[in-house]
Amino acid sequence: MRPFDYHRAETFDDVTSGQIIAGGTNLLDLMKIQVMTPEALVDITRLEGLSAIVPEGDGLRIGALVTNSALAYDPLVRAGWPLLSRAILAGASAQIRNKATTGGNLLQRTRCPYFYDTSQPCNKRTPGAGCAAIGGGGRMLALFGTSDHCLAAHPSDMAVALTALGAEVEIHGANGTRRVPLQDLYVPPADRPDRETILETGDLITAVILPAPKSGSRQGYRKVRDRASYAFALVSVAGAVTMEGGTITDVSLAFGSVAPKPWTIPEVEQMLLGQPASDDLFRRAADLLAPDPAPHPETEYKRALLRRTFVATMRQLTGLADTTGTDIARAEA
Amino acid sequence: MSVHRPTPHDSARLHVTGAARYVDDIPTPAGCLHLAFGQSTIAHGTITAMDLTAVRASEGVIAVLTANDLPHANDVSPSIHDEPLLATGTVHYVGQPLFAVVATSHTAARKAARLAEVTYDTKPAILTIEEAMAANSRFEEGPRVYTRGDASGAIDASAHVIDGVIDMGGQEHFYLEGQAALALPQDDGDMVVHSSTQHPSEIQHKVADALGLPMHGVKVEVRRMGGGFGGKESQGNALAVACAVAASLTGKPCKMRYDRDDDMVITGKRHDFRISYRAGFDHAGRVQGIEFVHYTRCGWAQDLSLPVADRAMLHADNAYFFENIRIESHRLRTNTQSATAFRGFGGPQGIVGVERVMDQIAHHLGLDPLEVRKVNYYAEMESADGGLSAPRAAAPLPPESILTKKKQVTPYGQEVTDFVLHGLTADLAARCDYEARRVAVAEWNAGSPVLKRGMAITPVKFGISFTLSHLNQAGALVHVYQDGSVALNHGGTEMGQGLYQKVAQVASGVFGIGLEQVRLTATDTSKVPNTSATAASSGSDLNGMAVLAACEALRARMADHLAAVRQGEPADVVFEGGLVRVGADEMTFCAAAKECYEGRVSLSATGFYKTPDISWDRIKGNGRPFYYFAYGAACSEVVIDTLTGEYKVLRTDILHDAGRSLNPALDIGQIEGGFVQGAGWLTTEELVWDDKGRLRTHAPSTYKIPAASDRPKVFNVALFEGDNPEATIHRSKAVGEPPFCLGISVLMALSDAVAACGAAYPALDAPATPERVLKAVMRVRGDA
Ligand SMILES: Cc1cc2nc3c(=O)[nH]c(=O)nc-3n(C[C@H](O)[C@H](O)[C@H](O)COP(=O)(O)OP(=O)(O)OC[C@H]3O[C@@H](n4cnc5c(N)ncnc54)[C@H](O)[C@@H]3O)c2cc1C
Ligand code: SF4
Repeated sequence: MRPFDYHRAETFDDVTSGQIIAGGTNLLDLMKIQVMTPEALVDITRLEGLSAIVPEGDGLRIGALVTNSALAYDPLVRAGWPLLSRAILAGASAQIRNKATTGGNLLQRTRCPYFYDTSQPCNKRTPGAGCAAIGGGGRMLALFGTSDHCLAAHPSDMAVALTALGAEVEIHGANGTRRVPLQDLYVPPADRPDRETILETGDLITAVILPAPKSGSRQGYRKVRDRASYAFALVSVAGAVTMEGGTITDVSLAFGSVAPKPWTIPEVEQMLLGQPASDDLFRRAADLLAPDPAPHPETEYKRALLRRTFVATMRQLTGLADTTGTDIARAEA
Repeated sequence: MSVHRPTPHDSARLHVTGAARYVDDIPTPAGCLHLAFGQSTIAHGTITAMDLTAVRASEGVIAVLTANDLPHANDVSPSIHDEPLLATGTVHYVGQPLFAVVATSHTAARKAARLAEVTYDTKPAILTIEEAMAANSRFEEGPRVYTRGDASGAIDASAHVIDGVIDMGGQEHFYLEGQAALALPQDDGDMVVHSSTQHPSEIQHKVADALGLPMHGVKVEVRRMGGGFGGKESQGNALAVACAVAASLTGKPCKMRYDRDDDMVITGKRHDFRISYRAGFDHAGRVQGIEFVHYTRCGWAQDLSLPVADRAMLHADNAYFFENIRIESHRLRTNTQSATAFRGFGGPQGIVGVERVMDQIAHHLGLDPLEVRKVNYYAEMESADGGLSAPRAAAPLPPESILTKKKQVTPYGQEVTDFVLHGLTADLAARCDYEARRVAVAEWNAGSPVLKRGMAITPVKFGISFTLSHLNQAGALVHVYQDGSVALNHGGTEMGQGLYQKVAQVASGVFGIGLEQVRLTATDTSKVPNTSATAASSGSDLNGMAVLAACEALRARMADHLAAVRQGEPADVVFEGGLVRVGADEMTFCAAAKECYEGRVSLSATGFYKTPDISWDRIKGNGRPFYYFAYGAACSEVVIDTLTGEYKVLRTDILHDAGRSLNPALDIGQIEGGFVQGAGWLTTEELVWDDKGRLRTHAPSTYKIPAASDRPKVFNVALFEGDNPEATIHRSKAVGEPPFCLGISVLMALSDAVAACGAAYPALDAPATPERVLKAVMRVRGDA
């Protein structure tokens, strides 16, 4: 780790002097191996008013410093937005979730192995250096939204759930406070994959706002990974579906670990809307899910995996399949 | 008497409180320097220029050593001197140490090591089995072959024949404590080395050669390792030698520890294997003839690859008697890390080969795989007194035909006289309700299109002893102090397995004193010389016996003296419950020790043990390489998701034979850990090299050992009680490696679950990652 200055922020405006640190679970790891080498850290964990979960209308205002654990176990969240709770608990480990914060989770960096290996070229780490993943190994890379300069995927589980739930992010900056849809927080990699969000120096995420849950919706989060716990998603699907008499009247979906941000495909939702749930419908919708060919040969498998995970999730959310028989997480001896 | 009792590990409290000291925790004297290796970035080639100017100029760098700077031997090989510490012109794999940086801190050394400008004349690298076979790149002159009978003829004459190939990957040891060494210069050029090693005598030997000293000039000490698993049998040599040379040149203490990525890139791993096979059998699945060809990638240097590949051949039969068998073994030289010892030492790979054959035979005939395994088991022997050789609780008699069979002999000529798997398997099957659950699984699968379950029982018969016979020896040194406290020392090393505790139990039993009166001291080459590696599961077998011999010698001396003073018989002196009784006289052990000291009795003794009755000709493949066999069986049930390939182990039941267990708690711990590590090898742990020979999975982010939640949700482990028929330490059996092979039940259960998806045989390779499981599902469904 390189030496750095440390400053504890006193006010929301007091975050301009360095890299923001919240739980530190991502940032410190990256600093230790010198993938990130900030000159100064601004610790925001003592800022007032960022650690509460409070109702806002029929929705919810989640402070940026609310820990992943607190959020996952919050009774309001579990009742109204169980998808969020499930997605968070599918990630990391209890110890990490106890430290990790809502704001930090949204801004965690990619898990592309070359990004972590400072002896390899990586445009995300050093703009213009080249991308070792192109022509290298890459089964964790993205399917959608990549550029010629970077193929990396965003690894968050929580952000995928928040996207499917239509969350907004509240940002405090030099010109006051603004709200943007979570989708618009992230910018495409283009030729500057090091720039990941619209945030400017001095911008502080203060909260995430959840709109009211759709009444009668069924929610689910399905994460596929190499190992039952403590592993990042290969692909994930978050969904909330409302049905009336066998017909899908509302559907909202997001796909994880397949793009530089939680990914949405509005055409899929349009195809499903107003249709009776059926395997055939889901299979046709799944065909919209796979770019051909995958941007990297080693992510070819993700195309099939995403389609299948989508179909399985839709079957569960629409009641075509009963969860006990199809959800491996629930299988018991 | 504490032998056979489930006492906790002597360092348990220290382990869980973080107070246990490892090499990197030892306080170093002032001025300690730190080392890091500069590594090759290509897999094969010659170095045309190595510009180290920037390395030398880097902050904190004191010295940079290349091969030319080494004063004496430049070799860290445990076998045929083919492994220079620092490259001498040719490089053989990505990660090979080229030079060593000596700097004021660990980070300064690592940073500087990356600044070298090395140019190479790159040569084609041999990475795969195919490439090595095509180039005839191998160790030894040609393949090693063991045969008995006419395998090929018997196969051709059989009613049914199958053939196939299974690939199984290697495995990173992933000891929690990485490789580490600390060298402290002494008077007149001597050296003291603290090393995280399973083999202190080898470190001593290599350091002495590198410093041009006799072995008595080097003392190696090992208190404990944070895991070894075979990865510290030879792989610690480089660090210890580099530190010793640097310490000798600078006169300063020198320390080196590999960062995890460096550790994974530099050090050797379990050998990966490809095994092709052909088997002929009758309608019941009884094998008439069987052929195996083993191909293993040994990496660039020989290291321990020959005995590893030998042991794979010696376990090609596992628990099964094959009249006609041929095993051919190719030890291939590749431009990758030099594969090394890893728990099981080739045995598990050999066993996976034959377990695959059993599974495929059962699939071919539509039989329960357990039935096929049982008809091929070795016969349970009749002993001289007419009973079964190892009568155990609840062992139903095997069928008549087996009882009357003549003695069965392994393909390498060793009689199997202690076979217990008939009874053990029946006992396990009853305990875990195997038959009813198999029916239930089939019914459940019929109604479940997406999730499929599978179940399998696999057995293990594992040969115990070093196959290099002379290694089967051990020494011990025991002191009784005048206050009655006892200090023990032996050549075995502690790596978490509980060896020290078991040996302390043995000593406390001899003297009839409590464990708190016995102290095991750090393994030290100046106390017990010429020791073997703590390996081959032999730690307590060998060192327990050596300590027993020393303690008994001391007890006899004490009894002689105490009896003589009281005109009694030494044979009547009783050591028990912390007391010593001589006739009507009774005193504490402490008082007895003091009395002996004052009576000028020597209260220090050495002990020695060598395993009896073993002999082995590895070229002919004949003899009795093993003193005895250890047995066990596991039943695993899994569920797979046919859409994603994900899976989960739902339940595992294990019955394992540890003889008359020295410590049931420690043994069950070894069995649980061994099983999980074995299952990890065959499921999620995947080593991936790219086409340049770079290991791409060199950190826990990409190399996935099982996590706590991957253990079976229901996990029942029991010991198969009974004496070892051989006269081992308190009739116990070695327990380090055999249970590793029980993880194979998970691979076979996955195969069973995949088989429920269609008609074709799954032919699941290992590691059976979710990706591989998914592909196998697609294959058996015919939609690949
Ligand atoms: C071993 C391991 C496994 C993991 N597995 C998973 C997983 O399976 N799924 C998953 O989703 N995640 C996983 N994670 C990631 C984990 O969720 C994130 O590290 C965590 O959420 C980051 O939160 P933090 O508060 O610690 O962020 P920090 O590390 O403190 O910060 C991360 C980034 O966010 C910025 N930042 C933080 N807060 C703010 C704010 N309020 N405003 C502006 N910028 C801010 C920081 O400057 C920094 O760049 C894993 C992490 C580890 C170490
Ligand atoms: S994919 Fe992106 S993160 Fe990975 S090496 Fe290329 S530029 Fe870096």
